[in-house]
Parts: sequence; structure tokens; C-alpha cells
Amino acid sequence: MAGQNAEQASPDAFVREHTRTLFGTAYLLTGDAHAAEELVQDTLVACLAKWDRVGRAQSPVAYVRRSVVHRFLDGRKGPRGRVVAVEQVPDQPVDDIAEIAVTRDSVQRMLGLLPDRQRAAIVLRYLYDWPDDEVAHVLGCRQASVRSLISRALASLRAAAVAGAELEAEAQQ
Amino acid sequence: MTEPSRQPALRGALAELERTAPMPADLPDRVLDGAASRPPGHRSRWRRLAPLAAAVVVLVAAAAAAVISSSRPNPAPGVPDGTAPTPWQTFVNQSMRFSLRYPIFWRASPARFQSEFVAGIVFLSTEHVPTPCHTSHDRRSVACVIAPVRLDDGDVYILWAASSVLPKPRETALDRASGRPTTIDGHRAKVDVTGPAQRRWCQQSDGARIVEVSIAQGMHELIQMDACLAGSPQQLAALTQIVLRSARSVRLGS
Repeated sequence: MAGQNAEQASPDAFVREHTRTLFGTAYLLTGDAHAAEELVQDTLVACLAKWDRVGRAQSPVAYVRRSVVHRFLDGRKGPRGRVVAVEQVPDQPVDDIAEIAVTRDSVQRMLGLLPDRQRAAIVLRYLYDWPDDEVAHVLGCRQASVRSLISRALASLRAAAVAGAELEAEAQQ
Repeated sequence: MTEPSRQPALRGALAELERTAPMPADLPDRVLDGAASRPPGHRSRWRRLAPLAAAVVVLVAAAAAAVISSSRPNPAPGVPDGTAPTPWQTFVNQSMRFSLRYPIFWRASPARFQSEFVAGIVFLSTEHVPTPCHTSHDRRSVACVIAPVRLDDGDVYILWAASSVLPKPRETALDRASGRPTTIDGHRAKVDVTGPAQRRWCQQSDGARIVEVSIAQGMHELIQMDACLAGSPQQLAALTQIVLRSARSVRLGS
């Protein structure tokens, strides 16, 4: 747990080296550059204030990333929503998103359709390869709930991907 | 059970998004400045300013249309007949200290959505439309999915919302809004009337005109209206007048 890290001695170096990837995480979670900026800055400032502890973590960047996710979810408790303009309601799921041409923009748009916890679970699992127990820990739920969240998120993404592919096909006709 | 390896395209797209996220180059410096200037136990100056600093105009979201299954014989219920005065009613959102008047022939549906930068106030339309906002099963989120439908002649569909804008030196939120300068309820405002091409959702809804109103509320916040109108040139002229009369009836802080 308490492995010594180069970052421990230099929080400045940690910030300069890892802000980029932490911002990427926040951007995937919030879907908005300015919200991501706020989230990362708040989280890093808070973590730097307790750097003695953060710097001793086995992986300081993983520690801070967990804090980003925590802060993201904590800041969005209560009924909130997003305005999502869609041009077609998806209705035909397919087996695997990978079978569909997935673009950066389409994934960003599709992520925006997911509830916060589903989005966080997808990002942590598929981008950072976190196992169920770690995702469950940061989301504050059971592992079975994580699998359920991911399953529902994938179903939504598949449906949205199909709709997007259909629209693209129509546009090309 | 889902395995990461089963979603290579998703994983690749996520990685690409993470890698290309548009981070401001000076963010690390600001983080370090914020950490250095933060007194123990106090919120940093940046933190206090964060709600404004992080805000950006995203509004515009969308309002869209509704399938109008009108039972009214008048195909343009929002359009006055030119002689009789239009009866009006009042919509009030007390928490946002917002009120406005609108024709009694229109329907108002509270716009129950909120994001970091935009908070819905009310949808107005010439006929009742189901709210585009739906609460999730766990009741923790509300998603407003607004899809273009079809507007008939004489229809209007309006979204009022409050939005925050990223502050810039010597620039207010209203500076970024388009339109003719005016004043509404003592606040600086702008009014813009354009064709439907300015809003894809309006064009796809068979709308023929967009009316936008932006009312300054402080330096970095706006109360904004997007209205999509449909109909003949005569109907559009009458509807525009009504929409603007309704917009000019807005009262903030009441």
C-alpha cells in the first residue's frame, strides 16, 4: 500500500505529468471541457493538500483518478439531467458495439446518453481495465451492481450505435 | 458478464477521447497556483469562482416540436384573429424567480432538466405536448430527450432556460449572444429573428422561423429563449409578435 513514489517528493512533477490524463478521465465523465477543468482542478488541489498521504499510495495517479470519480459522482447527486438532442430513437440493439463503426464523436455523444454511474463504470472498466471490485468500491456498490450497470450501459450504447449507423447509412444514400 | 477484450472499438474510442480531450495548456499551472494559494480549511479563490469560471454556454440545446393532434378547428391556435385581444395567463417559477405571460391558447410544461451550465425553465407550445423530460428508474436523474417532430402551420415551440457563460476579460455573457440590443424588465437583452437553418431541430420540425431572446442576468448568466415557429408568412408575422410580447413580459426576481 505504502510504496514510495517519485511523485511523493514532487507534487509539482505529478501535476505536470498527470493532469493531462486526469483531465481526459474527467472529460469522459462530464462530457464537457469546462466541467472537466473544474473537476480536475478541484480534485488536484484537494489531493495536493494531503500529498503526504496521496504520494505514499501505491499508485498516486490511480488514487487521484478515484478521487476524480468520487467527486464527479458526489457533485451530481440529486435529480439532474442533460438535454440530449437525438434525431432518431434507437430501437434495434446488436450483439457487439465493436461490430459497428465507432467514432470518437459518436462515442462521446453516446456516453452523454448514459446516467452518471453507468458512464463512470464504462470508463473505468473499458478504458482503465479496473476489475469489478475496484469499480464497485469507487461507486459504492456491490460487484453484481457493477456488472448490472455495465450491462445496461452497453445495451444503451449498442442501441445508440445502431441508430447512429442507420442515420449515417441514410445520409450516404 | 462482459469482458473488456470484447469491446476493442469502444476501448479505442475511449482512449482516443481521453487522449484528445481539449485540456487548457495552463491547467497544471492553475492547479499549482490554486494549491499554493489555498489557506488550510478554506475554499480556494478558484473554487469560489468555479461555478462561473467553469461555465460555458451550451444552451441552445434544443427545443423541438411536438406532434400536434389538434382538435381545434383553428389550424393556427396561437395566432390571434386580428380583432379580439389575446387572453393571457402567467407562468411562474418561484425558485428561479422567473415569470412570464403567455397566450391562454398555449400550454406550459416545466422544463425539469439541469446540467452544469443550463437549467431548463419552461417549454411553451401551442398545444399540449408530453414533456420531453423523463425521470430515471432510480429517480436520480432526469433526461430530457428532445427529438424533432412536425410543427403544423401556426404552431410554436419554445424553450426558456437559464445558462452560465465562461467569463472572459471585458466580455459579458450577453456580448456573445446574437441579435438586436434591447431591454427586458430593466435588464439588457438581445432579440434575434432568423430563419430555421440556424437551428437544425427547428428546420427538421418544419419550422420556418427562429426567435431568440437573451436576457442578461449579471455578468455571466443569461435567461434565454429559443422559439421555433411554423406557418405562412402572415402567420409567422403574427406569431413573432406574440412570442416577443410574451418574452417582453418576463419578470426576473419577482
